[in-house]
Amino acid sequence: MTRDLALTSVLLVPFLGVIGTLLLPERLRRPFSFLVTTLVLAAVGALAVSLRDAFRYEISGWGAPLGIDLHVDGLAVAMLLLTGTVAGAVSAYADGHYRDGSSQKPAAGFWPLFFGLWGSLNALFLVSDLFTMYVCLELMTFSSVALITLAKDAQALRAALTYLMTALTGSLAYLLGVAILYGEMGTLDWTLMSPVPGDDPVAWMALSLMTAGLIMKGALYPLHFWLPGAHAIAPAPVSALLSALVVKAPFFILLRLWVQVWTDAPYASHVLGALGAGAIIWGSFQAIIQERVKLMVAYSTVAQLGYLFLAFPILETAARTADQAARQDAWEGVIYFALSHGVAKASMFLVTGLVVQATKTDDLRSLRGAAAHVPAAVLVWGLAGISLIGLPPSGGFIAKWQLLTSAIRFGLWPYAAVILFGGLLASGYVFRVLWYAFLAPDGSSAPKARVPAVMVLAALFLGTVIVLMGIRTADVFAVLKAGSPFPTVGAP
Amino acid sequence: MIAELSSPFLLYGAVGCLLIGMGLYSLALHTHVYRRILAWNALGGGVFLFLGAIAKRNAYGGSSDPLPQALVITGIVVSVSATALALAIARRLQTEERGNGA
Amino acid sequence: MRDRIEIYDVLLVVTLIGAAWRALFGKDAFSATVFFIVYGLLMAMAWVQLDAIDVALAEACVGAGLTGALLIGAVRQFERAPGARALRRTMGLRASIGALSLLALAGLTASLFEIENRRSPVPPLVERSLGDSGSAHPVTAMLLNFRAFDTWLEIGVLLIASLAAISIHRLYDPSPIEGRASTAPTRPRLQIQSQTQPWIMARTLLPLLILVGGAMLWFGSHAPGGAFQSGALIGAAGILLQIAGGRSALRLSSLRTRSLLSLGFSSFWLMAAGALLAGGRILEYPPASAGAAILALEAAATLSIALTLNVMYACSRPWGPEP
Repeated sequence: MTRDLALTSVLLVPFLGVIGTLLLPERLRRPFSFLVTTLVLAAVGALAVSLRDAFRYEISGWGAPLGIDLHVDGLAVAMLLLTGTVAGAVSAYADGHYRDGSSQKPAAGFWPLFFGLWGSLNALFLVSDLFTMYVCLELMTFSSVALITLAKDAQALRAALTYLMTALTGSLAYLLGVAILYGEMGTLDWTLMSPVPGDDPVAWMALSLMTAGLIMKGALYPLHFWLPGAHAIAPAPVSALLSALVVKAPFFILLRLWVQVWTDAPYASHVLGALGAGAIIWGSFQAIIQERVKLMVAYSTVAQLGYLFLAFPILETAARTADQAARQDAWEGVIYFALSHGVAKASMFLVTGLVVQATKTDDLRSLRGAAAHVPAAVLVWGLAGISLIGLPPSGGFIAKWQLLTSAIRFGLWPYAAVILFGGLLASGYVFRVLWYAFLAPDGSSAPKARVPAVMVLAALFLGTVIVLMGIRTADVFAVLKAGSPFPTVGAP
Repeated sequence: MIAELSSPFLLYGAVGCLLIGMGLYSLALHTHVYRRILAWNALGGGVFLFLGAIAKRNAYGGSSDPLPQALVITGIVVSVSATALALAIARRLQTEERGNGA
Repeated sequence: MRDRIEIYDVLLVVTLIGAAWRALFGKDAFSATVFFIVYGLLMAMAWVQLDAIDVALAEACVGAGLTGALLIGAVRQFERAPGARALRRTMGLRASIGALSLLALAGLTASLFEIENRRSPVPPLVERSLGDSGSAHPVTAMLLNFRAFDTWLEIGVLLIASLAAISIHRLYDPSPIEGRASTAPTRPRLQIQSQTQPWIMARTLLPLLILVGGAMLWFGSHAPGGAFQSGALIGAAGILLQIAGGRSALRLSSLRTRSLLSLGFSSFWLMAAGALLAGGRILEYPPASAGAAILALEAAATLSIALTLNVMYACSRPWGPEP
């Protein structure tokens, strides 16, 4: 009962936020969005605590394949937790960001779009209907595009348009794949499809189309071209949402498809793995040579998304091994990577925003003296950097360790090498920022403005989560056990 | 098999595929966003027609499968929203660029 | 219900492809747009051939009609841009993209022929559940009951897109006066010119559009039609008024506009939460009141859709005073 209440609140309350922030008078919007955020966080927390095993919920009461079902398992709840953590921090940060005085108009537009984005993500992670996922993706994309244009800049419009056109093309490819799949399977619910036979050419056509569409939306190298511009130009709280959450949604669908529906794809998964490796190397090098901090962080997202795509060959190999513990380790490592990257990247964009707000520029050289002026921001940057490089104590360390040991265990040496090399490259751009931050300030670079305390607190909160994820790993792993495709108890 | 080949489902499905191919070609070739929006819409029409062919094939008791039909209606509404959003951004972008003397 | 291809199908398909070709590869942006609308209308006829009357209506009203209006409203601004006229890619690139498109075409067509004729379990399920769905028409039952969640999210997409259009319009409007900035795109600079052609057309068509729109909403519960088609028609009436230069009551920032824009989305929210309070699941209606629930949702959605489409049209017109 509590479980169902929590679940339905996760789905409904963000959309109440859309309506409320749109209709309520100006002065009530802040307390209302605070209330909605708190309620959603409480609901997600209650759902995570009450989750024992995977369960389903029939929207409208019909049940798949006629109706639309929710499929609640460890992966879905983990993504909800990530979304809640990041969105919660972003909402506090945005409150400070838009109260700062200079930009009163965007504030009115921000909240409905923010809650629309949050609601679409929650729905996407919960539904088990591939077409409903498509509608969620569109809702998410449109909210994101609109949020990018809040930067109020011709460049932002251009970036938003490029992103929109790419995402729309990707959606059609995905939709076509869904259409073929419905023709072949007679259902849209992925749990009713599994397992798909590995030698069905039509199903493969559907999978390739859906994958192509999703990697366009998910910015996997070499289809990442739209990401750096869009993520770097958006307002800081929006960049955090985009880089931490929005690019994870297509990855989430891919994970469902490749690991839980098509369980037998030995060669194709290496194509995704190779692209992922390319993303790590290309994205990291690009990040190192950037002179603007936000672009650097955006290219870092391109690189970090690459790690997520190493998951496909690793998990495919895992599915064929008999070692239960090894399989669960690989699965947990992949999801943990998505979670820890989300938190680390959101905090990086938020602290970059703090520095930009203080210094009015995101040029790398203007960071001189930031350690003295905004020590909290530099501390959080350091923590996020540690997580991205994969050093303890951080979520990134645990995730990378699990991925690395899985790759080695399954004999996937090239991927193991890329994982290690990528860590080195990440330290390159992380320490480049820290280097400037710890230089003594000179006259030209002295930070000017103060930033609201709530923004600093939001960033510090995410920094704390990064560290907690490195320590309290077992708590999250307990959630992931529910409905895992690689169950550890009971022989398969 | 011959009866199968002469069914409207295959004809309209094949036309859907052709429209998808043409739309893809046009989408990749055009550089201007307005023409790309047109191409994207035509491409979407092809995808919907493909779904319609499946609805026709799944016909049961004299009427087409209502599920793909509902999907297509949803898809059409999403398309018009996408078109409106893309046009609003493109239009404003052009105004901004002209304003800056570009 | 026909199961054979007839000569009419072949003619329709050939014209459809021809119109698509002109829309996709024509030199002139304006005529490409006109051919796109023709393509949309022919597509609606194709849907009739596929026994999908609801889709045909949606395609004619929304796909060809409203998308067409949006495009026609915007094309004047773009048609002189160099890239809008002709393809400007090198031959090598053309050839490689063409080869890729052909490959996709071949793969798709092959899958179409290879799709197994496995019976979908859905149509029999629809037939069995239709009695409890509150609608005698399968597509309406699908949209407003079985898959109502999709429809809710889709109305959310419409809402977010219109909010985005408004936000872009307001943020980037260079007009310094706040009050004017928020209403500039919809408030016409000219009074109605009663002898102009658009006005005469609007005066004739307006009652008809609203009447047909209302009828479509009402009949949608047991025959083809429904909120989207009806909303599109009523929306078209407003757009005609805008074209004719009538004084529109639309204030983008007013509470009334915002409430009406979100009415469809909010009604679905209330229905979802109400079902929970009544002890059911999200968007689950008891069979006895399902018909009323569907009609209420459709009516609310129709109003929102009509206004949304007007807002979108207003925001897609070239910026600045209308001649």
